Amino acid sequence: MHNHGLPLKTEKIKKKIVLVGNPNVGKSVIFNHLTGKYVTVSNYPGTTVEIYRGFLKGSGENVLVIDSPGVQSLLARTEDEKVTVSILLEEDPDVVVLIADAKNLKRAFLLLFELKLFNFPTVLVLNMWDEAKMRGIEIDEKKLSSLLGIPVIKTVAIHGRGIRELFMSVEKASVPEIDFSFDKKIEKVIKDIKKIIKEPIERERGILHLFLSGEKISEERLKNKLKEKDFKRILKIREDLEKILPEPIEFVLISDINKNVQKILDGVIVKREKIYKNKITEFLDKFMIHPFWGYIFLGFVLFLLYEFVGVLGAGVFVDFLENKVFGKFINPFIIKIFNLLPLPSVIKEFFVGEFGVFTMALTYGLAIIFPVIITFFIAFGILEDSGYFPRLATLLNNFFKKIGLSGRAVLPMLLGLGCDTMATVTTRTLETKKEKIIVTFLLALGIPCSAQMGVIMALMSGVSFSAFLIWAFAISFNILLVGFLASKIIKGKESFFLMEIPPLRVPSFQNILFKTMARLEWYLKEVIPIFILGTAILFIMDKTHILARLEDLFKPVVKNILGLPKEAAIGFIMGFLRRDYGAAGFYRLKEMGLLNVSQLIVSMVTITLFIPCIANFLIIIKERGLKTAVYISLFIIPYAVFIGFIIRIILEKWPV
Amino acid sequence: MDIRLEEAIKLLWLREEGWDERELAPINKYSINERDYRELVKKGYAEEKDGRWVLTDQGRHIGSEIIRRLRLAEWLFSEIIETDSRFSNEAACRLEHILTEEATERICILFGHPRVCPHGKPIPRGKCCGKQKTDLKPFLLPLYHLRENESAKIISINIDDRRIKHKMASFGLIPGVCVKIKKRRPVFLIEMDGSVFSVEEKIAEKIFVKRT
Ligand SMILES: Nc1nc2c(ncn2[C@@H]2O[C@H](COP(=O)(O)OP(=O)(O)OP(=O)(O)O)[C@@H](O)[C@H]2O)c(=O)[nH]1
Ligand SMILES: [Mg+2]
Ligand SMILES: [Zn+2]
Repeated sequence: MHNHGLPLKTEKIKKKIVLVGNPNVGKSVIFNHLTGKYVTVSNYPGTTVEIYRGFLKGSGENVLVIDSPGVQSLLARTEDEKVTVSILLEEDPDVVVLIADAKNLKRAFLLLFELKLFNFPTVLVLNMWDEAKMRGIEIDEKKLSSLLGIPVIKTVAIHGRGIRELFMSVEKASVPEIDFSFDKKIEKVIKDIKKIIKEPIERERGILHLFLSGEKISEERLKNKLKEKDFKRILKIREDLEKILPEPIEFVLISDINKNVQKILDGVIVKREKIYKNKITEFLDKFMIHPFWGYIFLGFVLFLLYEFVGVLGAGVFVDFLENKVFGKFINPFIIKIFNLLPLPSVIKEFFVGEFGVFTMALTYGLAIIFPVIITFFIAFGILEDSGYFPRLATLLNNFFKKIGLSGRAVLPMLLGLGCDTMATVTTRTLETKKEKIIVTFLLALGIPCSAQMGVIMALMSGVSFSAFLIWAFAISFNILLVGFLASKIIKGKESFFLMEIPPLRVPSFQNILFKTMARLEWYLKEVIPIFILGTAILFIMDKTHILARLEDLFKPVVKNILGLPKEAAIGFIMGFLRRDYGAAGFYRLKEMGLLNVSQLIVSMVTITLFIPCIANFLIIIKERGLKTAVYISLFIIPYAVFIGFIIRIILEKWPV
Repeated sequence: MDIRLEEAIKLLWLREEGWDERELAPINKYSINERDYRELVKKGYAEEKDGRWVLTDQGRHIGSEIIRRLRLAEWLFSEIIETDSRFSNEAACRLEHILTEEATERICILFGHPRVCPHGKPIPRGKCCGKQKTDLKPFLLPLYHLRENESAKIISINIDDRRIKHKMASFGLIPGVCVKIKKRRPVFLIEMDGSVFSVEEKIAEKIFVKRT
């Protein structure tokens, strides 16, 4: 869904700039300004979970800019935070641009102190200047700049204010002048270790800071540098330190810094009494997480979403595109052209036949799914940028706990509605391995991605609303049930819920536009080619009569267990490629009049629960390992069929 | 036990904790000297090692009780009696010799079994610290007991889970900072320096605060 690292001509790069900062402070907005690229910007912590690279505008590919996942401290806890720490260690940047939320400078200063330990030349950006002002916070940036000896720039990134100054200040970056010391015991241990290391290593003090907390890369560096005997000695020193400290080492390290931060800030921040209050957002804020009204609000949001995506997108737009534009104009026109061309009939059929590139792949991809995902991404983008999701996570925490997850897991699950593959990567922000596995599993099992939901909505919107509700209920019920069972079976540390809630914000039109465009680009680049590939495979299987044989082979399952016509096997075969493509297969059957309402519901539930798409499968392997990926798939296929069977039985007893 | 002996044990303890002579001098109000240390050796509380006096296991055991009394008493003075920190140190220093075991335990409970003294020095754990339930109401409340819109200062965080502590510290939620309760349900929403955090009950129960 995103433009990952681009092929870089490394020999040209003269300078590396890394953007770091707390989560949700506007790093990605600034990255977009500096490079002219677009990476996703949303109003919740943990939007960026991988690194993104681009070139500084106007530098002619000489200056590399890197956007990183937000971190609270360099003593990283979650996987996404570790990505940032490893990039700082491995890329060894020439300049670090530390982006701070001007409303809460203290949090950024924890990072500033840590960066100072590494002696990185730094620029400090005070972003969200507009919001700070409204809260009556004044910062004397000149004083701060001379106090720290580094450039300090005020910005309002979303309006592009201060960006020019930032461009110019990069040259002037220097190592912050901060003088402070840790608890005596820690300073003593550092001294002892330095003595053992003898000749200083690069960025020594920073490396030792990480080492004390048990961080792996720094440990590895020291291990490679030292004789085994010496390395064992410093491990022992760390162990002994752990024993005499009243609190865990990382807690002491961070607390020590935090206590010193206040002293510096006292002279530069002024808080005026008068604080501007926005009555509307304050009211909404209470409303959204109210233990009762919060659910009413959620229902309202879902209703609007259904109206916008299901009725407008999947109903009106699809109808228009499929029946009018493709049905009346484009396809007849293309068929005519192919008929005029002197081509063998096989080739003609390949493009415009029953399983034709134009008549099937592109018609499905562009006429049926496209309108739905456009409307979905617009609505989703607005929700993301408003800051509703962290509030929803808060509201649903108690509920999620019952399935062994914390409210934090709401975010990746919601993102799964956009794209399960991307959402699986976002599980990096979760605290425990157990949570990661369960969420990965549930995403693969039953969270329908936008494209798939598109087909399903398009299918159902013509039938009945109750059919859609039954589908939605069946899927939610299964997610909860499997989640609950998984949390009982999978062993692991208990999860806990402690998360920052960003302020509610009015979504910016421009960001929604860019974000939707970026996501549509992903769709066109990644999904449509698979549709074409799949159609080509179907075409070949049809011509070689393999398709007919497969239909017979799957007949016991498809017909006897699920009660569907044997042609439905095609839908499932297509489902191995992508679930949305599989759903599209059923669309065809329905148009041919082969499915009644009950059969439609059974097939939709089964295909939704069906095996994750290939891209998702590959990401599961990458993030969780091959074994987990295989186990998940082995469970899912029979389970999907089993649930389809149950639904069939129920619908036979109580038809809709 | 004799006050001089207790003071001597205390000094040896602090030295092991990393205090240097310059820092110890003002604390040494009873002018403890070599004679007292030799007395400790005689009683089996200390021994001479590489030309330095160090505590024996027995001495360390007594020492941990003394230090515990001292640092809990510091809490008493700094948070309840609210004396200036210079005086509270001195007062605590006297109190440390007369507190009974029971009184010490009650102070410990009142302050939610703090792990460190007001200056951040470790407090040795006591028998009461493992147990959770007690009929004595702590003077410090768990955050959990605050009402909406009340403000409080975090005094101690009585959580064993390292992950939670680490996360709290990186958010800046450490002893000494002030927080305000914005909402209690469905989970706790607390505000600190303009940031808002949701904190589940399980955690809010173990953060001990003092109303401000
Ligand atoms: N009011 C205001 N909002 C801003 C400003 N800069 C960024 N934002 C908003 O802050 C939110 C977070 O921006 P991002 O760029 O995604 O933040 P990030 O630091 O990349 O976040 P992570 O990737 O999650 O660490 C978005 O909703 C932005 O619109 C600013 O200067 N003023
Ligand atoms: Mg980002
Ligand atoms: Zn206790």
